[in-house]
Amino acid sequence: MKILVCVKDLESSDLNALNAALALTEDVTVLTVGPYESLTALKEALARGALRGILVTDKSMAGSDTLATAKILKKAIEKAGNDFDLILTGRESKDSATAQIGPMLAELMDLGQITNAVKIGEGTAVKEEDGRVIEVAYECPVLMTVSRDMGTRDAYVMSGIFDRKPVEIWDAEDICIDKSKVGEKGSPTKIIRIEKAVAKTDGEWIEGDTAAETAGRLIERLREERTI
Amino acid sequence: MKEEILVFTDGTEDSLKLIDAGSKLGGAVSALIVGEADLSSYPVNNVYTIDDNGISDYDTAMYAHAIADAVKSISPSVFMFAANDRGRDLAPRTAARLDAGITSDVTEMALEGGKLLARKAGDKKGEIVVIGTDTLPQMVTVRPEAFDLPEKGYMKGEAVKTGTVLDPAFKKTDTVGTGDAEKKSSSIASADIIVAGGRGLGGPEGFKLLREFADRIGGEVACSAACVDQGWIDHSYLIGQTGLMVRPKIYFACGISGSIQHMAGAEGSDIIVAINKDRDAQVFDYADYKIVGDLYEVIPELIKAWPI
Repeated sequence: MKILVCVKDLESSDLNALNAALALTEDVTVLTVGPYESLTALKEALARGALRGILVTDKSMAGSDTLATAKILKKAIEKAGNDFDLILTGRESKDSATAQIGPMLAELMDLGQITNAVKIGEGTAVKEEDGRVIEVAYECPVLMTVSRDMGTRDAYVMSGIFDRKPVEIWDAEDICIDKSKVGEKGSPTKIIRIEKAVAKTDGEWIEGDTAAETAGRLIERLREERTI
Repeated sequence: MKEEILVFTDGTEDSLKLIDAGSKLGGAVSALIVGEADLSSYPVNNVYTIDDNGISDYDTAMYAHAIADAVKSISPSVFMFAANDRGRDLAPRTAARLDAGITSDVTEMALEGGKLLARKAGDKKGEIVVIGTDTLPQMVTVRPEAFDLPEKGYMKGEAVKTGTVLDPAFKKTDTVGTGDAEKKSSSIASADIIVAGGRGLGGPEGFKLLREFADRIGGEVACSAACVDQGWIDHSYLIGQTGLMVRPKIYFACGISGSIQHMAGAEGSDIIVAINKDRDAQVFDYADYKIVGDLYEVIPELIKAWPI
């Protein structure tokens, strides 16, 4: 079984996705689209046991939204051989937007998809959806997004093998992507403007000489407000 | 001409709340459904139907195919999905099929000159990013917690067949079986009082104090992303943009710095009480009552003095 894992960083459910892949097979490729600094995450993935690491980085791709990123991933997967049985992504990263990339990639690649998988078996997987668990039968190739609830986050890290497994670094030309479809300009979603968050101006400082006095004053104020 | 706002509903409360979200934009709201759903008493203009072809199974690829086809014929200005698990599964795939941009987990939005603008927490401290899309329909997933169930009225939406039919040829997965998921901290969402802890707790044992406080005052414990990232507590306790959105009567933010991402999940609270050592902490920008102090000193006193 050949698995490709798309990661953004290894702090979120991306790590669960990598661990899930490593539990299923030794043939794991890790793919990242992002700035050059993402190399760190890929090196860590290799240290954790992935066989192949690919970083797609290009100035033209900066500011890509989820759809543009999914298009880049598709092109990169084609260059990487396009022979994966299973493509895994984390379900979410720190910014919630990333949950979109898996389903978008599945559509662009015309694959079946199972999101929020909590268990991956041979031919069937279990996903959680709005308070229900659903067992789904699938055929490879298939794309799954992995829940935070799956697998452990502290997989064994091998050391000293960085040198033997260099990360492949590709740019826009390497993956033959139309630069007008990526980056800030090529992305359909745009930042229109940036606003300052409005601070609450009528908040009240509660102070006291001791913690007991402060606590007492807060309770007094909450009572006056009939909150308690 | 009024913009047509289309919402995808499957009859669940999460998806019905989209009608409220759509109405608040000020346009005419229509619903798109697969199969049958009784929307007759909800304030919708048209109820567009996709023929389910007798297929009861849900498969994302098959649904996205049919929905994209239907949407092309309806050509709405705005197209919304609920940001629940089902919506997060289906909406991005449908967007990719339509080659349309999509903004996720929206809680606040407005139409300005026909352009849908969503306000979201930015990466930088104190910044709100206003996002729009160049493509049509302008797609969003909407957090159901931020909206209400629409009031039932006498308005009867006109049923319109889209002519689109679920096609099993595009089906890529099969449902083998379903069951109820283990319930996880569902009581947080409906709690009147929430005691949330952040990085300032210093470690997982800090939640013991918060739990004691919460038990004393009849509340529930929750957390910020820092605690989940550190592995101090399970993700199901997370409040914020990637977690739960809550609107309790009192929200205690204890040792929480107050990132926009976190506050997005809590700012609907009636009263926010912030306890933080750092007077400059951003959480104080959101708080109704602000206490500069050590939570390990203040909370025990609150436990002692709290009225029965």
